[in-house]
Amino acid sequence: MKRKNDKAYKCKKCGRITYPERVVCLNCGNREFEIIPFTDECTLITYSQIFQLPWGINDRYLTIGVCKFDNGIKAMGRITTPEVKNGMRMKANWTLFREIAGEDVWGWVFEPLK
Amino acid sequence: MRNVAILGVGMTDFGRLEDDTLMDILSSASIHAIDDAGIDPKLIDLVYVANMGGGILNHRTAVASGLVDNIGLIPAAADTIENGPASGGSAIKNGVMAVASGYYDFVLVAGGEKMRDVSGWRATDFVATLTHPDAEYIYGITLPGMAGMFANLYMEKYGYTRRHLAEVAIKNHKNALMNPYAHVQMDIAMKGILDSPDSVVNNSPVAEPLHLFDSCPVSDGGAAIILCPEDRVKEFNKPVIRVAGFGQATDTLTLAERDDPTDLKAVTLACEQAYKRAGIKAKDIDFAELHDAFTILEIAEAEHAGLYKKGGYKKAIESGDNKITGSLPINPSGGLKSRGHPVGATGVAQAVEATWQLRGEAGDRQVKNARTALTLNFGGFGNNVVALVLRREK
Repeated sequence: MKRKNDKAYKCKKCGRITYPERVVCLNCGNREFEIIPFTDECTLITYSQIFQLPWGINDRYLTIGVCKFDNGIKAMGRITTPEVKNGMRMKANWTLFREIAGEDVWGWVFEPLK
Repeated sequence: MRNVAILGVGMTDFGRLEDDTLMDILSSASIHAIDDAGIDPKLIDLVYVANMGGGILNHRTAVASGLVDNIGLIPAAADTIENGPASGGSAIKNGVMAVASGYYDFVLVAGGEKMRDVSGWRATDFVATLTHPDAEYIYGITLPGMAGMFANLYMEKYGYTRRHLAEVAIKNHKNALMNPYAHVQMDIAMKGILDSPDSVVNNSPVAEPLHLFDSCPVSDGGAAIILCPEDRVKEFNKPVIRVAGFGQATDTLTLAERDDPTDLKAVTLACEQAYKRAGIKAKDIDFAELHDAFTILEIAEAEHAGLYKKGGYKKAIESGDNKITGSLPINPSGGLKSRGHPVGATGVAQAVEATWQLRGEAGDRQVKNARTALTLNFGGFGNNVVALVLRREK
């Protein structure tokens, strides 16, 4: 299955950042975008340590959060430790982190900057 | 456009209904509503069924077609409405428009869910399928997890504590003790869920900062209403409960993309539309049934609906103003927190409760002098919200 989570986009007309992809810019209705890169670092906006997890996940808990990359892209991802705080600087790693029905799934894994 | 009224209402018990199928649940709620209305079923010309999980949880699709067959409403038109946890509110909105337009006269709106056929693990995954498949679901996010992230920010921004959340839970559990249909009939106290060493075990974390007693149960259950033109109600010798206004609004699917993740824009917009259509202001609401799937949502929704300013609900919590005896009762039914949350049924159950309250038929949990009610059905994590204003007419 093609996962559409590996690229972020910027509207060619108004500059609004879109992640993940969508067909039409939510801000101005334009349909043309340019691909923009993710930065290596980001800032943690919020997170939760989740104990009651869905079918298919065998961890005792997961920490999942939303980060804002330094160029403005915002994305959800897993966090390597629950010992974090809102506003903390994080390193963003694009990682193969799980398998769903035999399919390798890549996504964001954030860790506190040392 | 015609004014539209709720002629009849009905519910099943909410809880673990082991002996009932999804169709049993929908049928039972519908028959209760038909009997309450005192209507000849042959008059019903349209049926909307709100259901989110029939296909995934119960291996049953096209449930509206099944319902009209099972309860003898053929050849009425029948549609299933799936709009996540806001399916019930959406189905009512569509029923109201069908009657208001003059295309249909008597509309049955039934909502139901049979969630306990599967394990909690599977049910959690089922609800999580409403998140973005590539940008959220893959990480193992859950709806409690979304609510935990929201609560983390909201509590920090507006100064709420876990004690405020616990007070909401305690209130709603007490209200549910007076609701014979409620799933969770359990009195709880601050000592048991927050203020004792035992609370660590009693009230384990679900998605920090939210714990077990901040969360609604996974429920089976059904609810139904009959809508009709307001000028036909007198034929049935029933009080006139008008659907005075409705509103619906959407927001980004992913929480991350919102400019301010603590701003529930769709709640505000849906309520503003509903108030405008009803010709009222938020201050005219006498009580509200809000979508408290998590305690933080009762707080945030009350504030985004304009019933309180941002951060202002904590005064209602501290003063007891939100209790049944207060000046603006919130969730007299016990809310999703304690009445339960069979997702497709919830929006309809809110309207059933509001109708009972407005008729003066709510028993021990009756809100005094209730004339105007708000119901708020919150889909996704606030990305599809339906608000209704119901009013008893003289």
